[in-house]
Parts: sequence; C-alpha cells; structure tokens
Amino acid sequence: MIVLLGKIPGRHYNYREILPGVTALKSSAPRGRLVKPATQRTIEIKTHLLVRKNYVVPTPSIDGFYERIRKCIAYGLSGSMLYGHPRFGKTSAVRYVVNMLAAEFPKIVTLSFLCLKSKTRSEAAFFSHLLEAAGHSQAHSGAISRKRSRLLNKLLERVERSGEHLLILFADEAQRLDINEYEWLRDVYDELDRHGVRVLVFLIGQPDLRNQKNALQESRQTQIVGRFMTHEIPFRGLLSVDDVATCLAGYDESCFPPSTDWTYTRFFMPHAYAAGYRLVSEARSLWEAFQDAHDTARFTFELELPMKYFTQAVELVLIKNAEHDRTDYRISAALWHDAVLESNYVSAQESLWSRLPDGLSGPEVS
Amino acid sequence: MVTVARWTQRTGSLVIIAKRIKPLRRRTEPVPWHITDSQINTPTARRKISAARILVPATAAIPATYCWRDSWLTGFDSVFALLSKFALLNGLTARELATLVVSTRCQGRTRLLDELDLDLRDSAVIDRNKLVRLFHTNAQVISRGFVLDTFPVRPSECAKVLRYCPDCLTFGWHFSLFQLTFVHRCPIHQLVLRDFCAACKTRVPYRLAASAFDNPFICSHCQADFAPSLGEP
Repeated sequence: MIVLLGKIPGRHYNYREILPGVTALKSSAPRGRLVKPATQRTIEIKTHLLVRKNYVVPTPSIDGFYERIRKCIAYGLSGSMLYGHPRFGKTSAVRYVVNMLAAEFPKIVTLSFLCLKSKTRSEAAFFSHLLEAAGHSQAHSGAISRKRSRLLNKLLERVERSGEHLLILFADEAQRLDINEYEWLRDVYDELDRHGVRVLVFLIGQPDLRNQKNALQESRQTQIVGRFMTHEIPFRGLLSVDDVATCLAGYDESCFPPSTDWTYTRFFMPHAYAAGYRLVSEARSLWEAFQDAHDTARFTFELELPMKYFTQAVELVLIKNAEHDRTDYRISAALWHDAVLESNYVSAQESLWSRLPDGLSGPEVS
Repeated sequence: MVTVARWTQRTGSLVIIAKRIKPLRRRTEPVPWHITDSQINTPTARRKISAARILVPATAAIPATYCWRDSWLTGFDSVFALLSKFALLNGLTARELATLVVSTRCQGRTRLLDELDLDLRDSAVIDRNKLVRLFHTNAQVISRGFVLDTFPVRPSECAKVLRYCPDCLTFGWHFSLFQLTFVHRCPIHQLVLRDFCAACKTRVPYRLAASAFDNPFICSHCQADFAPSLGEP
C-alpha cells in the first residue's frame, strides 16, 4: 500500500486513481467545503510537555522490552537483563513500561529503583534504599535485620493487597551492583518465593552488565546468574528511517493536553498542520541530517541514533520554529542540520567512543 | 508493509519517504493514522498504520506508609496484639513504636517516652485516631482493644500482666476479654488462660515496654516464640 502525504496539485479532495497502484485517501467532506481545525493554541508554549521534556516516545526497543515483560507474565518466564549505551533511553524505557504495566495490569505490583554508586557497600544502606523505593515510612532507622524484615513485609503486603502473586522489580543502572548486593537481592527473592510470590527481576544497565555476567559465570556464581541474568536484551537506538518515521508519527498522533485533539505537531505548527503537514514526512530529512553529521565526524561504525539526541533535535526544531508557522511552512534540511549540531550528537559520541579500548570501534551490532 | 510518499511539485513525481512504519501497539487497537488534508476522521479515511504513542509518565513515587496486613485484624484484637503485630511487620523497636502511638497532646510525653512503660489497659496516653489510620480500620475496632474502655469494670479487675490462650496466641490472636481477672477460660478453645511463659514461667507485663515489644511475641527471658504460626506462608 502507498499512502500519500499532502496534496497533488489540482486534485484536492479526491485522490483516487492518481497513479496505478497508489491507494490514496478520499475525504468524505463535500467538495469545496473544508473543515479546518482551529489554529489558536489553548495553552502557552512554555507549559507544553515537549518544552518540559516530560514525555516518553516508545522506540522499537522499548516496545520489544515491554513485549518481553508481557511474555514473562503470561508464560512464567524469568526476568531479563537489558543493556545499552548511555543516553539511549533505558531509564525512560523503565518509566514507560512501569506506566504501561499499571495501565494494562493494574493489579501487578512493580518496584523500580536506581542502584546507587557508593564507595563502601553497606547492607543497611542497600535495604534502606529498597525500603524507600517500596514506600515505607521508616526506611532509615534500625538494625539490618529489622530493615530486611520491614522490606519483606512491605512487599508481601503490597502483593497480598494486589491479589496477584507477582512482583516485578526493575533495577536501573544495575552495572553498579556488586556480588554482595546481588546476594542481598537474592535473599529478598528467595524469601518472597518461599511465601509463594513470583518475582521477575529486570536488570537495566550499560553494556558492562554483560561483563559482570561473564565474571559471575567464571567464578561459578550460578545462583545469581540463574536468577537474574539468564535472558539478555540489547537495547538499541533508532536504526533506520523507518524507526525515525515511527517515532515522528508519534508526534503527529499523540495529543496534549490529553483528551483534546491538539497533537504535538499541531500545537507547534497549527497552520501548517491544518494544511496537511505532518512531521512524519520529515523522517528522511532528519535521518539524513544525522547521517551527514555522522559521516562528517568520520565515525567508523554504523549510525545508531540514541533517543536523547533524536528527541532533542525534534524539540529544538519544533520550539524554535513555532513562531514561523504558516500554512506553507516546511522544515528545511538546513534547520535539521542545525538542530543535529545543537543536540551535541557528534561530541557526545566522540567522548563515548574515545574511552573504548583498541579494537572496539563502535556500538556492537548483534 | 506501508510506503509513505509525498508528491513533489518541483520534480512532478512521488518521493518515497519511508518504506515501512513499524507497528508499535499491536496488542490494543492500532492507533488510527489518517492522513487527510483536513481533520476529518471517518472510517474510510482511517488506515491501520500504527505510530509510536507518546506517553506522559505518571509520577513514580509511592507515598510512604507503614506496613499493615488487613488479614491480621480480627476486629476484636487487644491493643497489645495489634501493636505487637505492627512492630513485627515494620521491624520497630518499642521506643520507635511508642514515639509513633503516644498522643502528641498528652502531658509529660517526653518523660513517658524516656521511661517507656505505658499501661495498655486504657487509652489515656495513646492517640486512638493514629491507630485508626495505622490499622486501616475504624474507631470502634480500636476502642475494643482497650479493656478498660470496653468493659465497665474496675482497674483492679483487669490483669496487669498478659493473660493469653496458648492456642489463640499461636496465630497472634489476643483479645481484651482475656485481661479480665474473672475470665478463666478462652471462649473459643476452652483452654485455661495462662499469665506466664510456658517455658520459663516469666510473666509478660501488659504494658508498652522494651521487654515485650523490642521482640514482639517472643519471651524476653527465654526467647520462646508465643506466635510461631503468625506470618507463616
């Protein structure tokens, strides 16, 4: 199927039979009567979510991660280990799946926590941190044994109240965990298991996680690898124009404020949107802008676009050009190039890959 | 497989923009992605192409609360049993527990907390509203927990040490009724009520004190477990 974007001159409201094999859209509005959407914004630009950056665009990787969780819930599989490079949107992925789980399985208890970096590992601090994440009023006082039982009881209470015998744990920045912390986590896991609660643990972290797994395997710590690290999911950036188009289409589809018909694209370019302009048509320009920057910097690896720089470029373009909006406004290739430059994609990639030892020239392709 | 194309005026031809848009939300009804000049949303204009649905994450922070299990509440529990279970679930010491439940309006609060020896037969110094919130219940259930508030008896008719039915306490059950000195048997099990630890004959004071609440349901003298079946899976 081929879907047409925009107008073909002279054929405004009936696109059928334009070219052989082209399926085009036919409007049901009577000829000559165009229902135009309102172009006056209902809220100020600075209050929009895009400006406050409080939104998550699901990528194919995030979707794959969520699918895996659904599979684990449905078929009783064990948790996974999700690894990816910094700025690829792993933390956003966790926020996304936690919210999606709350919507799709409102009864399932989830607990997400950030693994902290500390010079000295302390069991008391570890359990305090988990208690805080689990929502206990008395997270910091008392002996270790008291904290441990507090945590266990708190988790059991939440699970019991939910009516499901399932708890999903998300450990973000899991590469910071050391063997002792894995053992403490395992204690919680085993104790909950003894009470008939199935625990799914998802470790989310940088590629170091895989090295950790290897090291644990080498030292025969199979009790940890078997519980937490059996399944691996690589977390990828955007890999093609199609991925970019999928994400850009999100801006054309999703609305803010919710329950209105103000899509993100329409909000920033109401006149152009009313005239049929959609951000998805910029997919190739945006990808090429990143590709150019990538080639100019002479990176030897294939372009794999981290979400951070993608959203930053889109935000820059939309916010900066909101004032230029008019019916025939289009984002030029030069504007995309500037946005890519300003998103600091190249310098960030340089600093990331310059740390790598010889022989590793870029992101791994699995 | 969907191809998205745009007509270009300059070259007079179709330019392919994207060959395939990956469907992202297969499990629910696909997001209609209709591309029309106007915003007319008719079934004929809908196309089954999915777009990434942007999500606005809700705040992840869970409000901090104390732990309590509603299944551990019978509705007739004594305040001794309720506070013991609460201390057990939340890993609290007697002092932490007292700080939480002693009314902030009672006189000499600091001294009471220092001495840590509070009579649990009446609710003179206990914040009953706080207990209602902590145990997710109502004022009536809490008031049943205090023997002198529930029964029209003299203080001398209420035991100052814990009197319990061994079978009831195995499951963590203890009722205000047991503290009445003229009640000799458990109405449920018909067992004679005990006022000492079966193992070491030590009496447990019916007071919020470190000896009884630092390790709830455990004899402070011989470490015998009064409620072995409480909290078992």
